[in-house]
Amino acid sequence: MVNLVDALDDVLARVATGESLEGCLARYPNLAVELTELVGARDRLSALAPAPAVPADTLAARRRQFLTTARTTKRQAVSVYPFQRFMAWVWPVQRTGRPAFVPAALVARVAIAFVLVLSIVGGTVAAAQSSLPGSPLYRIKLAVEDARLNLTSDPAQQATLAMTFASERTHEMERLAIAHRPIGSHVSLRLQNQLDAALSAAARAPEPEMLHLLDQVRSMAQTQELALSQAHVNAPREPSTQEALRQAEQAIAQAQQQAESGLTDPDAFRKRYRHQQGAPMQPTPEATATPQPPAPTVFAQPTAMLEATVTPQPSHTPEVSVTPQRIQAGTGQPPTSAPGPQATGTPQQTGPGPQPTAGQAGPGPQATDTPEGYPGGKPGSGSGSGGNGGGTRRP
Amino acid sequence: MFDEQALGQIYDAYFERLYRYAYRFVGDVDSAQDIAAETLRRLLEALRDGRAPNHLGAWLYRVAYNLAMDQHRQRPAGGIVSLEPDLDQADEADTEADSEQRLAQEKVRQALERLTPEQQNVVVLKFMEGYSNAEVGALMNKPEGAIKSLQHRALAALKRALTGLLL
Repeated sequence: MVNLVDALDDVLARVATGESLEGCLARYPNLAVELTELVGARDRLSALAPAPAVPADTLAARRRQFLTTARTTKRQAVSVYPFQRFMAWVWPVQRTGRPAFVPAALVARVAIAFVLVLSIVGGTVAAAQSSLPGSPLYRIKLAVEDARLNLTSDPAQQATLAMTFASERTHEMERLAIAHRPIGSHVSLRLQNQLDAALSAAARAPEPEMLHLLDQVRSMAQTQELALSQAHVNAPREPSTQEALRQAEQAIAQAQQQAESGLTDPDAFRKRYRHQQGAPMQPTPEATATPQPPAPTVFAQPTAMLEATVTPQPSHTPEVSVTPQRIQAGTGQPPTSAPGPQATGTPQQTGPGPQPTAGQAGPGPQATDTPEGYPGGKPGSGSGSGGNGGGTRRP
Repeated sequence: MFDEQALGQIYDAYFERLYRYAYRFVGDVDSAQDIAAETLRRLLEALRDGRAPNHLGAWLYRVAYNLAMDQHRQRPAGGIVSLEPDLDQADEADTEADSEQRLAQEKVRQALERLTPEQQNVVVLKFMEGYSNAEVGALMNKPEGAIKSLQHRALAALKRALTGLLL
């Protein structure tokens, strides 16, 4: 059975050759009505007059213009220099004056500007990734790391990122040591922060994931420990560098111990980190002014950790208290009005790690500020030279 | 650089066709001539850049169609416009029959405006310019079967539009 489309085409073709419409329609009696209407619609088009003829002189003038254009249209040379080649491409776009092309030119300009900005920013960020402490790009590297951590909401991803960044700190210390360049304590402090962020994020992850993450932290800590021992050998002998490396080793040992304890007793591990629910750790000096619930270790908050770790203690002083707490920023003193547990004057041995010891400071200098590279200032001269050179030590 | 004689032949063969074609869409003599000239100028650029079209006619009509559609988009509304001289320019000596004819032309023009650009293109090429299905297919880069279907849909839409306008 012939469909309407083919029947219409056949009828139109026959009519065009002079055949009568009635004769054509007789071939398709079932479609005659529809075909009549469609052919009728076509016939209505004849009501339209054709376009007015172009005057001969206009035609001739436009022909001359066309041939003149053809004579002046030459293949454009292409520069061997990339910039000139680029400008030769861009410039005609910019100078095109026809209104119809303005949007295209605008789009081209915006696109070019966008690509240039992206290239510059992207290039800078990429270059910053291999920078070392002391380099102007290092702050960009740290800012990118912070941004990535803050933009991640999944605890497992946060933990993985924090571990990656902690490994990067160790790698930086290795590279600095090989280059015989000094290592600042802010690098080891940031390492501590990132290890703690990894543990804290792991505590927020579901049980199976948490155990897997803790296992990763443990493995990473073991690897970093080896790397740092090598860095210790290569690094300059200056006390500040040696102190920073000791701090880093201590932080890694603590992280390893925390991970192992979490693998042994996941519930207790979660409880210890329960108060840290929320965003990944950032250096926030203001937070230290507010009394906090008990923290398991100095990993609780960056500033508290800083205060504790850079506060040297005499070697004979028994380390730690049962209930470590934060020290108020800028004072070096614990918040006496805090309802929570207080640092005691008779600390007990409870485990490794630096503890808030403001109430029992040894003869060394007191660190009361935040380190360089963090908001709030830089550390004091508490490198431990006046005391035992490190305050607390891992067992 | 170019063979001027060959270019002259191309101009003679296509300028008026392109002008008539563009006129169906833009309804203005000067604009239609400009579109035809711009289409041929772009041919020169294509030849200069080594992009000689395989099917010259199809290439030219496609460029002209795109230019006409660009103008169409810049207009507040409507597609095929002013296929006839303005009604208010009608000679005072026009008879009543002439007025009726002009009114009918205006209704057809309005009906054509309601078609899609592709349907308009088929109507213009097939029923106004007299191309075969195969030629229209080549010009629109579509198979002949698609042109048949498009032709049917175009006439059906035209019929509906004319019925609506005449009621």
